[in-house]
Amino acid sequence: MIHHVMGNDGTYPLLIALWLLPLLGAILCWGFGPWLKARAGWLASALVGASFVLAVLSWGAGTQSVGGTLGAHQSLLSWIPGFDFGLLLDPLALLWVFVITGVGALIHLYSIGYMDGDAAFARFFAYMNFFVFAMLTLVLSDNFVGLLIGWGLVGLASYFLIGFWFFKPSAVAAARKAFVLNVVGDVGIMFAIFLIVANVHSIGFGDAFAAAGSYATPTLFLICLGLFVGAAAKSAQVPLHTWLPDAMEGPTPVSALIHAATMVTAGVYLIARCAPLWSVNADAQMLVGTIGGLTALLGAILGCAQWDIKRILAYSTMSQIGYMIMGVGVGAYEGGVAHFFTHAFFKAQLFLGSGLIIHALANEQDIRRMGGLAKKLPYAFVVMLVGVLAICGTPGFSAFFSKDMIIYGTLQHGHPWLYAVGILTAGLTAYYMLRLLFVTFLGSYRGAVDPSDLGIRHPELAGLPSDGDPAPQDATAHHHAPAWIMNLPVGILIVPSIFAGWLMFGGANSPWAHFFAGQFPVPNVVVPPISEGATSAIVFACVLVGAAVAAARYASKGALADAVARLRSESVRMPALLSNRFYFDAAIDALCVRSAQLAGTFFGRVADPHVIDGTVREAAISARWMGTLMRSLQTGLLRAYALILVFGAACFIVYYALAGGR
Amino acid sequence: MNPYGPVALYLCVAFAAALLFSVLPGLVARRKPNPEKAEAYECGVEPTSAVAGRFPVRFYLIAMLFVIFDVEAASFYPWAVQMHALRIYGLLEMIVFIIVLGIGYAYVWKKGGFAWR
Amino acid sequence: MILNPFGTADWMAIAPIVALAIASLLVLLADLVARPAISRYGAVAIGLLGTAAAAVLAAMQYGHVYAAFFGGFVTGGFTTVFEEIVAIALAGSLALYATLGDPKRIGGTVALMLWGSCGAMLMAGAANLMTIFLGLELLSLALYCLCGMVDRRGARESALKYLILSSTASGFLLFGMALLFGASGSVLLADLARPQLAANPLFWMGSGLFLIGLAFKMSLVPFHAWAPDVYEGAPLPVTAYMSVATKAATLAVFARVLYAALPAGTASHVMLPVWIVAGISMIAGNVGMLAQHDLKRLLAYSGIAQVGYILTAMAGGSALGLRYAIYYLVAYTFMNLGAFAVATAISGEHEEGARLVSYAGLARRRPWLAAAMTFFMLALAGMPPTAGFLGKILILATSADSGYAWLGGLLVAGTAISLYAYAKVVRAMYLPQSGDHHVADLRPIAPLAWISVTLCLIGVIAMTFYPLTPSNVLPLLR
Repeated sequence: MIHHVMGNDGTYPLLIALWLLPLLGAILCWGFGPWLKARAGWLASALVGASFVLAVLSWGAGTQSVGGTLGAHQSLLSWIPGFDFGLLLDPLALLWVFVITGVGALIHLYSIGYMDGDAAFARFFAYMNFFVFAMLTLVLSDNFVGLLIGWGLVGLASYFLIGFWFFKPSAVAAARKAFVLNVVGDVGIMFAIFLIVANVHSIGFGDAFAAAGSYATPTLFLICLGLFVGAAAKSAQVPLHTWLPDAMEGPTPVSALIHAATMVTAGVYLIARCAPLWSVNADAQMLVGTIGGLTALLGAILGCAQWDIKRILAYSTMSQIGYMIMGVGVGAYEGGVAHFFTHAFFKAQLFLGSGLIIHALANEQDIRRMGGLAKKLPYAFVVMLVGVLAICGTPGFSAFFSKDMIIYGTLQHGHPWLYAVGILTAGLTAYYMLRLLFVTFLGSYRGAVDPSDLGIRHPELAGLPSDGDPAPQDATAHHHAPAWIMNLPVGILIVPSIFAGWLMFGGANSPWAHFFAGQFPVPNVVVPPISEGATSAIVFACVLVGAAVAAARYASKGALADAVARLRSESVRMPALLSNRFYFDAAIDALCVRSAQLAGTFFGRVADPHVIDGTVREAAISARWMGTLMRSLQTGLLRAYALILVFGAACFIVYYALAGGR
Repeated sequence: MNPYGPVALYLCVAFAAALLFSVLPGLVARRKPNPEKAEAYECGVEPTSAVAGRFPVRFYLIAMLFVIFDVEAASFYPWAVQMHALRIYGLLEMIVFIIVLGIGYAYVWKKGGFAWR
Repeated sequence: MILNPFGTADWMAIAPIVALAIASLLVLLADLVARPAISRYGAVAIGLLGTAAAAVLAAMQYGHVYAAFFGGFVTGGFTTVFEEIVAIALAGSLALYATLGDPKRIGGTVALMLWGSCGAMLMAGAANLMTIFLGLELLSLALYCLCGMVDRRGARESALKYLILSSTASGFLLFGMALLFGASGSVLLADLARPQLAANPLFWMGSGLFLIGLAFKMSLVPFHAWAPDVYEGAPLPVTAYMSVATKAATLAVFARVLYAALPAGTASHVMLPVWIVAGISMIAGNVGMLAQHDLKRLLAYSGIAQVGYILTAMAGGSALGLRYAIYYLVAYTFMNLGAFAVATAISGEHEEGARLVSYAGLARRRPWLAAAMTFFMLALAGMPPTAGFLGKILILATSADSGYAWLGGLLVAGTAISLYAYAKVVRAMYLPQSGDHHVADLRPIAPLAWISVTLCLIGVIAMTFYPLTPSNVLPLLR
């Protein structure tokens, strides 16, 4: 059997080093944490930075194209036939590696300031480095099993980091929720891998994709479905999205790195990686595109109804990933991936910016208790302003290009409904992001106002987190941390937030299209009735409407003067549907948790003691009986043993006498 | 017929005969025991001790060592007969053999294998 | 006739065996001249050096072809692998013996182990009936003495039982060889593959008796009865040695007979009784484990079943099956030695590590050791993620492919039964100690035993990742 290997084979030791450096960091920070103390942060940042440098050096290897074969391949281990493990660096993987290590290094640096004084400083960096390693495993693997291992490890890292402040019960609960929902996804991927191995007897991407045309259609749909369940769980797609807002219980840099820039986009990576499978199954494309669009819309609607700054960003993340999933789902792979790229920068920047605010306001996260911060925190204001402009798709900013690629792509691939959803969501995005910006930075500071006057109910009833990031134990310590260490990474991120989109400018001649030449299957596109330029105009018009509504509601003179009363009335009169987040949690609770509890009760009271225990007991009794029989033959008497031996020999002799006499 | 058939027949006959002669006396013999007849026969003298006597284990040890060295010495004869044919190779083989034997002998001696005590 | 032995005997072929023999003589000499205090570790050190030399010499032969004793001993591929297994077993047992051994007897014991390994290696490469017998007797004679090498009633009983039963089996084996020689007129195994032998009743009866002898050495049910008693009585390191080396050597002989010494088309009929007893062994061995309270007895029954697994792999007579059998044997070597090494590590003068009660609460006293033991038990039970699991999966696949699915079914059933027995050991270590039964901490740390545990652990883990791609097919037989 000929094995198809993706990437040009050769020895790329750089690739192995790039992959393992963060693991080394994790081991060092974990093993020598007490000795490293504050140096752990620098060590961890340096190793991730080194990985980034190696990624830059691997640019040539990753983008090489020899006879139509893209990228570099490094074999690691050949196990039983069909189970070959290796690393694959092609443009798709390279893009993810850049973001993981590049943005990752910046966020590591930021964390040195943010986590300063935390009792478990070194442990935090050990986890962060471990996460980077896991994520690199996921994107560099050349086979499904390696991908699944990475997939599981990032889930584990996410679990550790969400529950990093394990003394907060809400954090522990959130970590557990994220883990459980992600396991659902892992099972989906495992199921898909079983199907693939059963069909092609190999776990390699190359083999699985080379056979893309030969699967039975229902089988291929099931494979895609299994993979998508994994993608949906990891990328917070409806209805497996409920863990993401809760995951904001983790430290803010964690939210920026894992729950905005990298891990949650793993689903996008998976679908883009498996593009050869999706592009030959229209049903799977339809499913993924629809779920993506639905998630984009729902995330945006829910984003309008949140008061917690990190939760607004969380729903916005969910909505933006919905865009990406919609893009890669309908077949606009370059667009979906482009939005991942730009989103990583501006969303990381937004999270880090919100971290600056939260840090400065002693862990306040409710935007109703902010206001007027533009004067108090001008740097944070600039950061957030650029981020908001970027995410809204302001012309010239990065998301303008990437989001339009997706929206126009849906029309090109014949999904007018998704096109409409994309445009509507763009307007909503502008509304809730500007709402965040206006309420936070304009008007006057409301930190001293009584919470009940602002309509803040008991946090548990409102479903808001019970408390924010805990203050460092040594309250004076964080004053020693230099301000630049948090400001610098955010400042650097501003540059790609604005300009990354320009790479995608120019359609088929853009640097983006050149970078990905040959990466994705070329689908049959229709020439839509609405041109790309017109689409951009429509989207921008919709964004302007959203912005205007937001401005009227939160930035007008009257609104600013009467801010406290207006926020109070909005909080109190929030529709139950929105404040309960469309009852997804309640539905999951009723459907899964309750039924599982019922099943558990049934098994615990009826099935276990009577059916299973009974059977096991019977089996144990009969096994013990057989054991006793064996023991009764084992008398310890030599003559008994000799008798058994001779008996066996006699049976043999009879057989051979008969067999030989034929 | 199987060429080994007669052998099998012979075996059967032998078994049957042996069985017959060991069972038959018990069935047909007249039994008139008296004390003299029931005595164990030992050259017409009354037995003085139990039949299964106990020997010191050293007898066996010495006997075993004797057999080992005796048999090994016996393997010199074939070599001696074929010495000219085997030439230098045979000589070397024998020297190795003697060295191994010698070490074993020394070991047994030093460990007190020959001491009657 | 001018004999030119130098022309036909390739000295390189028997170099590993010669190395062991020389080491053995050196141990005896050292024992005569050195003081007891030195001789304890000295003997083991010489033994280990000899073993290392033998292992290196054997490894150097790999891929070449050497023959000695007029074609009675061939090596270079298949044989090399089995020689390495014997060397591993020998090194492991020597290390354990250094920890536990009786200083007065260490010289003799080590020398006997080395001589026994000579025999085992001779069997591994034996290509004629006489070499097989010579190797088998050399190994067995050494083992009879080794079993009794400790002042314990049980040990003497063990040695005597083994001597008598094994001699009986050797009798069968020898008689079978005589008949085979009578049928073929040659002692070479290769000559047994002549097609006209298939119709010769002598050949069939000879094979039958020969296989009885082998089945005894492999301790297949119903020729197994000696194993639990002998294992229980023998000193721990000897049991460890016996459980691996005897099996490996006998399996080598068996594989050579199965693959190279049968007339074409007769294999499935000639070997049918062996497959049947292998199937019975997988069930009976695992059932036998359930009622045991002694680790050595438990592992004896486990070994009975494990040989059944290995034979299942060979049942189809396919090259792939033999490869998987060897894979499983190597993995078994490591996990079995590992379990014995753990037992040694917690043993004192009276071999407390052999009794299951000594494992109560081990997880608290020696967490790492308990973890290692758990791993070995999982591997023996064939649970993922260990090499034992992988081996069993491969064996199952090959048995289904070659038409012996019923053996595969018995393997699964046997494995299911065995779980309870292996879990018993693990449970004893991790459950809190019951009541006032307290096991004293026996010895601080026995370095060689701990090193053995570590090396076996590495071995089992490495076997999990051993690349099983087709390029690794061993050059098996000539």
